Amino acid sequence: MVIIHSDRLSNLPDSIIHEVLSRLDNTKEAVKTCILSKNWTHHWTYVHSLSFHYKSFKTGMAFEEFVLHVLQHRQHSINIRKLRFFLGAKQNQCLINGVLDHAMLRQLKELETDVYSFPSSLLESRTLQTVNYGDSSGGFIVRSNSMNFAWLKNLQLTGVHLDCNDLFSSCSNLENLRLTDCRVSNTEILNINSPRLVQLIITDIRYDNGLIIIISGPKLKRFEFKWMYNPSLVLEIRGKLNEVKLEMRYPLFSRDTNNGKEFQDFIIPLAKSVQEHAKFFNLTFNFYVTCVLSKQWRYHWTNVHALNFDGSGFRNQSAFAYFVTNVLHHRKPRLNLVKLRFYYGNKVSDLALMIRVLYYAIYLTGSKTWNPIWGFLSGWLNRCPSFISCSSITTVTLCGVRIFSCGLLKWFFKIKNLTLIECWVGGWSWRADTIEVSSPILVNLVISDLAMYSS
Amino acid sequence: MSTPSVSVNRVLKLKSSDGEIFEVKQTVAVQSGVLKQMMEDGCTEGEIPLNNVDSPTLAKIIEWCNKHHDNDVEGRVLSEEREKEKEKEKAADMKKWESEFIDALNRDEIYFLLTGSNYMDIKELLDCAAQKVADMVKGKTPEAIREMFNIQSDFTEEEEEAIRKENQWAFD
Repeated sequence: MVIIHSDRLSNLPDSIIHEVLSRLDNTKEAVKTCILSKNWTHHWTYVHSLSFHYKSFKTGMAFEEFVLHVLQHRQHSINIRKLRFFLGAKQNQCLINGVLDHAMLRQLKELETDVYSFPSSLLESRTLQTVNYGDSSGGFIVRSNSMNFAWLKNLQLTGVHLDCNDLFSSCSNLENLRLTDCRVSNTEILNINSPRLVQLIITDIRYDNGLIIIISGPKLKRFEFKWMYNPSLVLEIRGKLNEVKLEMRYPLFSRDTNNGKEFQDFIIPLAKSVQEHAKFFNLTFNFYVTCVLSKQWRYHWTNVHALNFDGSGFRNQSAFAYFVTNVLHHRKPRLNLVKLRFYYGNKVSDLALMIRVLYYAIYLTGSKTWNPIWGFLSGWLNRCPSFISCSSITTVTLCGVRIFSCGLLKWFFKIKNLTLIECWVGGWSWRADTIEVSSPILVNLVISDLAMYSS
Repeated sequence: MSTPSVSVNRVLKLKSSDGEIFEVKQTVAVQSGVLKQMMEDGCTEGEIPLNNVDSPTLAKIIEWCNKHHDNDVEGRVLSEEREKEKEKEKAADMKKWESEFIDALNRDEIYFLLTGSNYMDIKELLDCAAQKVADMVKGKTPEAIREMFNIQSDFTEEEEEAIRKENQWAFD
């Protein structure tokens, strides 16, 4: 078969090329296409979505110059659908006003940002529908005045410090509100009541001493709440809802022996009150929460033969490590572990924790499958502890792992199934010319998108 | 999604650029802005020629439209409470199906799907395919993009240098 290579991407209609360039996560990448060929020098100026992130520039100066360059050269007749604009700690109000005013004049619909202060053009915009506000990297942005988005439909706040008990009542068109990792201070009552609000999702709210959250709204249909159990938090739902979903994590190893009783006292009235207000009610716990159901249930969870750890459900790295360590410590020893899922989620990888978990899974028990998805794992694979080699692992799947050694399988004597997906070979001082995959009883080998690493 | 002039059982006959005839329910065809307009104008008698779309691409496009249509109908039959749950499952399933559908295509097929869906004005499919190409371009150096799509640079060295200088902020 003869494959004729033609210049496909350049042959696409301009409108599709602009659509593709608009979908790149970083406008820097779109601008870079200007040197592909003469046809391409101006394609980037037609993008309908812009994305500026200070982290992709070495200095604040370079970032600002880039932003101004793009605003100056883009086709001013093209409206802006979506703008991502992250400045970090260095907030230049002139630049902020310039960029946001430019976008508002061009009918901006969707905004993701971490700017400290909103110009009035933003609050009064009639075209703006969605705002994603906050710092997803774990920092906090302090807001002490209310957010008077008169026309906004969707608002998501992440890592925002809420310094006022009634922030949203003046958002008279708000339909969806999502609060993630926000902190409430200077008030013990958070009132959420917005005339058009339909859906409300609150995840991991933090507060000083105690907090009462009052939720009401004539149109509110759906409410989701995820939190770490703490008796100092009170939920009050007023009005009739269609669906309420509560997902609670419970601090497993609290020193307070009375906790179980307290928890029951907390959860039963809550469940009753929610049931009165909602057509559909869903309450979920982690498996270990069952220890407080009754005396008989206290130790049931320690017999599980599959463990599922996911770091994304935890506040931070140490909370995750604390939880994992405690579960391993309390689980019945010598009980075979059939399946282990272990994901850091978006948390920083913790080598010591991973080795502890693997050691537990492989040496102490008979874990049969292994699914590491950690990109850094290979750095460690290179000097893999010897316990792996005598383990009973039969199935290994590696996704997005950098492999530093040519004799990949020398530690896995009992491996039957090996899958490598989007793995990298080589790196640093070592360049792989050959990679040897051999094992005495290997049956299935799947390799997909293997790449050479070159620095 | 359906308009008053659309009946459930009627079919449209679509003719691809290479002459093959495809039959599509009207209720499915409304996903295409062009066909929807034709139906509203009442000019869908006989075969509708789609001169810019070849038969393998048209088959793919119809597969997409059928899948997205089925989803709508099943959703409506269910009672209210089940519908909510089902909708969520369906949305997740659909995302998976879409990514499998797009990932299974080679670059030429994606190219034809883009031009075809653009021509027929099927916004969701166009968005999905454009996102796929954007993902392919993401994180690559200009050299790698040129190689990937076989774009011949027609700049002289000096010209390229000048363009780089003009947009130097993107190349740090």
